[in-house]
Amino acid sequence: MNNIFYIIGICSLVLLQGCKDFLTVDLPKDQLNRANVFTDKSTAHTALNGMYGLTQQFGGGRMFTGGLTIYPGMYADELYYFTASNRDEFLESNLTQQNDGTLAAFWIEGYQYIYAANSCIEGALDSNLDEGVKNTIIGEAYFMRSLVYYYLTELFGDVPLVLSTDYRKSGTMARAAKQDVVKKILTDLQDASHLLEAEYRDGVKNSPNRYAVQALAARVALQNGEDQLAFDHADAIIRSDIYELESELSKVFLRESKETIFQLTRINQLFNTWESTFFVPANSSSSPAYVLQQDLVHSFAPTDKRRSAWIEGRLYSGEQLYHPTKYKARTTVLTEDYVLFRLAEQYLIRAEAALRLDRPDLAIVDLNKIRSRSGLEKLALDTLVADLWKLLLTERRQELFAELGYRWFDLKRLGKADEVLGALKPKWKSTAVHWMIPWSQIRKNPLLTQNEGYE
Amino acid sequence: MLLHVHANVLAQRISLNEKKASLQKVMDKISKQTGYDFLVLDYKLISDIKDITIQIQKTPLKEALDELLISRNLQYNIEDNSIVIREARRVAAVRNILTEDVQQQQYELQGEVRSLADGQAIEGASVTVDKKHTLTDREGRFTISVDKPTGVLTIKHIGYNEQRVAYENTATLIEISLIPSDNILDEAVVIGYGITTKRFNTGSVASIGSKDIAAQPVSNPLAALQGRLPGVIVEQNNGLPGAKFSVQIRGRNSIEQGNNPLFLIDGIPFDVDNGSNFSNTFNVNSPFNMINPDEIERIDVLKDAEATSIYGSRGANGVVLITTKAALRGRLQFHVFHNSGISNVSQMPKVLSPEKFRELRREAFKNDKVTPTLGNARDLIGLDTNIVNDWGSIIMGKTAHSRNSSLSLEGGSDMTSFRLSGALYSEGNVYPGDDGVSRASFTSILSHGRPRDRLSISTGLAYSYGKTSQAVAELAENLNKVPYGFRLIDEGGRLVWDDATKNYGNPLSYLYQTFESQNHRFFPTLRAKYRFMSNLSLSLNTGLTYDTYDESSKSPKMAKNPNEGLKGSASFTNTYNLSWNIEPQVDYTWSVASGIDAAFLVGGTLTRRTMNNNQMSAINYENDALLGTIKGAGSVTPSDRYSDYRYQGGFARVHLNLKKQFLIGASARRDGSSRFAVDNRYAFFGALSGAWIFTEVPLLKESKYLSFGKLRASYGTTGNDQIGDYMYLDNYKIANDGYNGISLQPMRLYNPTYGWEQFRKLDVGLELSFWDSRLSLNADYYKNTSDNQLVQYSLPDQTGFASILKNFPGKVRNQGFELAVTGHPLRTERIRWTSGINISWHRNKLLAFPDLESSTYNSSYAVGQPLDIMMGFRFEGVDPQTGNYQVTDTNGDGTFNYLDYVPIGHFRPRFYGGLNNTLSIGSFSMDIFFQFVQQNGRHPIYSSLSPLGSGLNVLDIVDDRWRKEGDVASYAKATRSFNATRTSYQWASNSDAVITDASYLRLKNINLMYSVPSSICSKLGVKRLTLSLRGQNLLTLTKYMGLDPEVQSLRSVPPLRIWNFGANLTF
Repeated sequence: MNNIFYIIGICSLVLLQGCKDFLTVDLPKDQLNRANVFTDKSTAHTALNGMYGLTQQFGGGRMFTGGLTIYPGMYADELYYFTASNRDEFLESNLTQQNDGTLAAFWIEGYQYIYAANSCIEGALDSNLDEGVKNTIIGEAYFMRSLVYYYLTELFGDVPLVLSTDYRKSGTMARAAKQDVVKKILTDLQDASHLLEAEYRDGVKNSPNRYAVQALAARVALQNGEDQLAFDHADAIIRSDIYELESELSKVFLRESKETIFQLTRINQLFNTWESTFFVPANSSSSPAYVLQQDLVHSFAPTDKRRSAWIEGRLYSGEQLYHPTKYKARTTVLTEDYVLFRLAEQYLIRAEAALRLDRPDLAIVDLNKIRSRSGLEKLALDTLVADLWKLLLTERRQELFAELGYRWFDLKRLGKADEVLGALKPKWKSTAVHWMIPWSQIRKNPLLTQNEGYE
Repeated sequence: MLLHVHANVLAQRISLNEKKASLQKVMDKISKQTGYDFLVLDYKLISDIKDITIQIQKTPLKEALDELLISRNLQYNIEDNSIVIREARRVAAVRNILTEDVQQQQYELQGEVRSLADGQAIEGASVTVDKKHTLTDREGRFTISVDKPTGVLTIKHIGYNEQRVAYENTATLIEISLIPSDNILDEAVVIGYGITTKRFNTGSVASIGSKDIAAQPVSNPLAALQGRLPGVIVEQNNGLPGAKFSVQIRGRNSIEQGNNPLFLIDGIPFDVDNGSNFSNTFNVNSPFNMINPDEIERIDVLKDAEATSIYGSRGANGVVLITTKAALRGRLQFHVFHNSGISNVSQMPKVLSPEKFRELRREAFKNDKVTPTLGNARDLIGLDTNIVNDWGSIIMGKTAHSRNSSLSLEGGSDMTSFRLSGALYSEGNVYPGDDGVSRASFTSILSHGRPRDRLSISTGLAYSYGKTSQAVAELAENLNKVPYGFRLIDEGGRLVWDDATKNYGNPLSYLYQTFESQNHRFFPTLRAKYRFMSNLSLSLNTGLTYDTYDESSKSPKMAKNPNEGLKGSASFTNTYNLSWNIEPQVDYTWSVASGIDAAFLVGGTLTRRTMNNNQMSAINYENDALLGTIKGAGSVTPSDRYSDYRYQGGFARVHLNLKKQFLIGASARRDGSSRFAVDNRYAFFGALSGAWIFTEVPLLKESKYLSFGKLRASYGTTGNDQIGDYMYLDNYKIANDGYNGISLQPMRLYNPTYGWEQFRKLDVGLELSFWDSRLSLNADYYKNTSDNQLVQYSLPDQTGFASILKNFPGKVRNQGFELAVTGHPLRTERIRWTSGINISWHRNKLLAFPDLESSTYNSSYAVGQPLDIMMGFRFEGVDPQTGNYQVTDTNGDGTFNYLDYVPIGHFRPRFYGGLNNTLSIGSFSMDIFFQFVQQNGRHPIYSSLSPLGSGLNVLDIVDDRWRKEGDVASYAKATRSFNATRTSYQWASNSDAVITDASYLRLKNINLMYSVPSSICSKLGVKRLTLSLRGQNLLTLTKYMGLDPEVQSLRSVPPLRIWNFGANLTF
C-alpha cells in the first residue's frame, strides 16, 4: 500500500505544486498592460497617438470622419443627400428611431474617445514618468476629452460627465447639466493650456499644442457666452504669430497650410480625408453623394473667391448640382489632413466676441481680414452693429460652410434656428435644437432621460 | 441480444441417429435442422473424428453439442449465426490432493480466465463444476477442488458468453478465453479516464459506433451525430463543402460564453476554434474536416455531472469523446474502401418571377406616388427584360461530386500490432466553378504489450492535409437579386461589366475572387501503462497537436466592379496552433470485502495551447498576374495575433460496486485556468452518483419479462472556461492602422473580479430492458442550474465600452427529458429488424434576475421565460386603411418603442430526436433514419427589414398583400421610400409575426448494403466484399415556407441531398 501513496504523492506534487507558475501566460506580442504603457515617454506617446487614431477607426461619417460635417450640415441648411434614404430625417430636422444607430455612433464612439483620454490621464498620474512627460500626456488628453464633450453637449444637450475609466462609477451616471460639462471643459482647457507647450509634440500639427487647446477653449467659450474668455483665447492665438491666413484659398486645407492649428491625419493608406470621399464625386459621370443647398451656393457674392475655390458644380440628369471642394484630394497620395482648428475661425471668434463686448471696431478689423482674403471689399468702420451681426453670420456661413457643422451650431448660438430652419422645414419644431438621445442608450442606462420632443 | 439467440438456439431440439459417422457429417445434419453453420477454426481438430455414434430424439441442441464436443476436448460458442468450434485449451492441471478424508479423493483445478477480445484478465467470473463454485481473482485466476478427474467447467461472467470447458487430470493450468457477449448491457461505454459497461455505468452517456458513422456519406464526423443521440443538437451552418457544425448538449448552458462541448480525441483536447480566418468568416473549413470519419471507432457523449465532473472546468457543456480505431491483433488484414457520390440542392427557392417582381416594384412606386426614373428604378427602366436570371440554378444548380477512398493494413502478433491507413477525400461545390474541399489523411499506430503485461505502450501518428477553396463571398447571398436583365459572362468566358452589372454587381465575379486554405495537422500521441501490481497501475496519456492554416485570398481587378475603381487585392494568412497535453493517471482497484469492490483513480492534467497568426493584407496590385505574391502589391498592411492558454488540474474518482446491485461513484477535480485573474484561477468541481440495479433483487431476478432494471442519479458541479484569453487585463493593443506611426489603444476595461462559471447538474435515469433485451428503454431527466454565469454584461456605452465580463446575478435553469427506446420487433434466422427512437425535450428558464427592470437587460430577458426569448412587439396585422403593419402599443403611451415589448417566442428546438430502423434480410441490410425537430423559425417575409418592392426579390408567397384601401391582407403595402410604412416593416420584423413553425421531419439517411456471399468472395479472392448505396438529406417534410427549416436563411446554401455508392473490400 505504501507505494500507492508514494506515487499519488509525487503525482499531485508535480501537478499542483511543482507548476505553480504554469498558469502565468505570455501576453500577445501586440498587447501591453496599461501599467507598462506609461513607463516610458515614447510608449506613452504611442498611446496618445492611439487616442487620436481611434477617432479615425470606425470608418466614415463618424464624429471626426466627416460626420460632424454631413449630419449637422443636413440638419441645418447646408447639404442634402442625393439619394432618398433615412438620412432625409436630418434634412427635415425630424429625427426618429430610424436614425438611432447614426446618433448612437456619435454617442458610443464619443465616449470611447473619452475613455481613451481618461485612460491616458489615469495612466500618467499612476506612472513614474517625468513631470514634463506627464504634463504632455495629461494636457493632450484634456484637450481630446474636452473636444468630444463640446460636441456631445452641442448635439445632445446634457450628457453624462465621465471622468474616470472605472465602469462602476461611469456606468451609473445620469446626464449632467450642459453648463456643468462646459464648466469642466473650460477648467480642463485652462489647465491644459499651461501643461502643453507652444511647440507641437512631433513637430507636426497632428497633436495639439497650447494654441490648439486655446482654439478649442475659444470655440467653447464663444458658444457658451463666455465672451471675454473667447476673446482672450482667440486673441492669444492670433497674436502668437505662429499661424497666418493662407492667401490662396486652394491651399487652406493642404497639409502644410500655415493657417492650420490642429489637424487629424489618416490612419490608413486608402485615401486622404473622409470629407473628400464624401463630397468629391467618384468620377466625371457620377452624381455627388452630398449636394450643397442652392441657397447657400447663391448666397456668395460674384467676386467671392471662396465660391470658385471651394465649390464645384456639374450637370447631372438635367439638374445643376453643387458640392464642396475644400478638400480636393481623393487619391491615395497624402496631401490633405483633416483640419479641426484653423486661424480663420479664430478671427471670426475674436470678431464676434468683440461685438458682444461692445467693440464693433475690433470686430470690423477681424472680419475684414477674412473678407479681403476672399476678394470682398472691406467693411466700413462705421458699419452699424445690427448689420455687423448679419454680416458676421453670413461671413461665418460662407467661410465655414460644410465644415464641422459650424452653421448648425451658429444658428443655435445666435437663437436663429427657429427663424431660419422653421421657414425651410415643415416638420421643424423648437425642440429640434437638441438631437434625440439614442434610445438604445436609454435602454442600456435607464437613468438617461430623453430630450424634449422625442418622448 | 445474441445471448438471447443462444438461449433460443441451444434450446432448439434436434434428433440424430448416427453410427460411426464423422463429426463433419454429424455437423452437417445439425446445420440442416437448426439453420446454424458450424465454423471450425482449425479443420484438423475435427477431421480425425470419425467414430461418432449418437442416437437422440428431440434433444436440446445444447445437450447434443455437449455430448458431441465437450468430451472430445472441443469447446463451442454461438457467434454470428454460427456454432464456432475451438480446441479447448485445456491442459488441465489437476494435482492429487490427499485430503483429511482419504475416502474421497479431491483434485485441485487451476485456471486463468481472460477476455478473447483484449486478452485482459477477467475478475469475478464465476466458475462452476458440478455443484462447486468459485470466482476468479484480479488476475483472472481461480482454484477449485473437484471430485472427479475429468469433467466440464462452466464459466460465466457478465458481458461475456457463457463458456463450457472440459478438463482432465493431467494438465497443469486451464486457460479459458471468454468471448464478449453482444448484450447491449455489456457493451463497453467510454467514460472520462476509463471504460465501463452500460450495465454498471452510473452516468448519462450516449454513444454512436463506427457502423452508424460509416452508414452516412458525410465528411465531418459531427454530421454523423445529427438526430442520433438524445439530448444532443447538431446543426449545420450551411450546405457548403467543409461547413461547420455546432454541437449543443442539453441546451444552451452558458448564456453568452462558449457553448461548445469539450471535444477529446483519444483523450487529447481538440480545439474547435482553429484560428482560421476562413473558418470564422464563412463558417466553413471546420477543424473537424481534418478528421477522417472512417478512422473513428466510436463517439461517446457525456452529459450529466457524474460523467462530466471529472473534466471539471471544461465539462459544463458536455464532453464528446472520440475514440479512434486501434490496431487489431491477429492475422494481417487489408481493407480497401472506395465510394463516390453526388450532391445537389434538393429544393430551389421559389422567388417572384420577373413579371411578378416588376409588378411589385411598380406597385411600390405607385404607392409612394413616385415616378420611376433611371436613377431610382433602374430595374424597371434600365434592365433588359428579355434576359431571365434564375439565380437559384445559376448559383447553386450544379451537381457536386465527391470521392472517398481508403486503404488500411493492420495486424500483428499477440504482443505487437500495428495499423496503417491512408485515405483520400474530395468534395465539390454546388456553386459554379471548380471549388471544393479535399483531404488526404494518414494514420499509423504501433502497440506493444497486452493489457495484462507489466508494460504496455502505444504510439500513434496521424497526419492530414486539407485544402479548401471557395469564393470570397457567399454566392447564395444573391438569391434575392433582381431576377432578370443580367448578362454575366460573355462569349469569350469573360465577366461582363455593363450598365446592369456595374450597378448591381456581377455575382459570378466572386468565382474569380477566391479564398484558398491549405491545412496541415500533425497529431502524435503516446500512451503507456505500467502495472506495479495486478491492481495498481500508472498510465500516461500524452499528445501533441500541431496544425497550420495557410490561407490566401485573391481579388483580381478584372473581377472588381469597374465603378469602384479598385485595383487587385490579396491577403495572406498563416495560423499556427500548437497544443500539448500530459495526463498521468493512477488506477487502483481493491476488493474491500466479498462482493464489495472499489476502483480508485487519481490523475492530473497539464495543457498548453498557443496560437500564432500572421496576416498580410495587400492592395493596389497593378497586375492581376502578380496576385499570388506579396511583392506585387502596391501597399501591404501586416497584422498578427497571438494567444497562450494554459490549464492544469488534478482529479480523483472512486467507484464502489456493492454486490453488483448498488453502485456508488464520487469524483472531484481542482482546476486552474490562465483565463482568469490570479485570485480567481482555481476552482473545485465534484459529483456524487449512485445506481441501483433493482433486477438483482431476488424477487425480480427471476422475472421473465424484466431482464434488467437500473435506477441511477447523479448530482454535481461543472464549469466552463470558454471565455477567451486575457479577458481580465486592461490591455492596450497596437492599432491595426497607426496614427503617425505605431499607436496603442485601450482594449477593454480592467476587470479582475470575475470567476468561474459553475453549473449544478442533477440527473435521474431509468434503464429497463425486457425479454432478454428484446426491448430496452432509457429515460433521463435532468435539471441544470446556474447563478453565476459569465456574461458580457451590457454596459451603458458612456463607460467607453459596450459590455464587461461579469458573473451573472440571475438564476437560470435548463431541464429536460430524454427517452431512447430500442426494440427488435422481428428476429428470425434470415430477417432481423431493429428499431430505435430517441426523443429529447428541453426547457430553459430564467428563474430569477434581481433588479431586471432597472438593468440593461430589461428589454432582452423576462423572468419565467427562456433565455433565448425574443422580446418584441405584439403584431396586429395590416391596417386596411393605410396598408401599414400595426403593432400593439402595450403601455398605451401613444408611441411604439421597446417599452411596448413583450416576450414573443424563441427559436430553440422544443423537442427533437430521431427514428432509426435497420432491416437485414440475408445478405441485404437497410438502415433508414429519420430526424425530427419541433421548433420555431423566422418567417421569411415578416422577418425582413426591407419592405416589399424595395428592390430585393422575395419568396413567391406575397400575393396576399395590401394593394388598396380596405384590403384585408397578410402583408403590408409595397414601398421603396423611407416613410411610415417602412417604419412599420421594422416593427413587424421585431414582432411575434416573425415567429413561425419551422418543425420538420427529415429522411436524413438511407443506407443499403449488400454483402457479397462468401462463395463469390472466395472466387474473387477476397475475404469480404460489401456494396453500399447511401443517401443523406433525402426528403424533408415541413410547413416552413422558407428554403430550409434547418438553415432557414434565404441567403445560404441549404443542406445538400447526397447519394453515394461505395464498395468495401477486405483481403
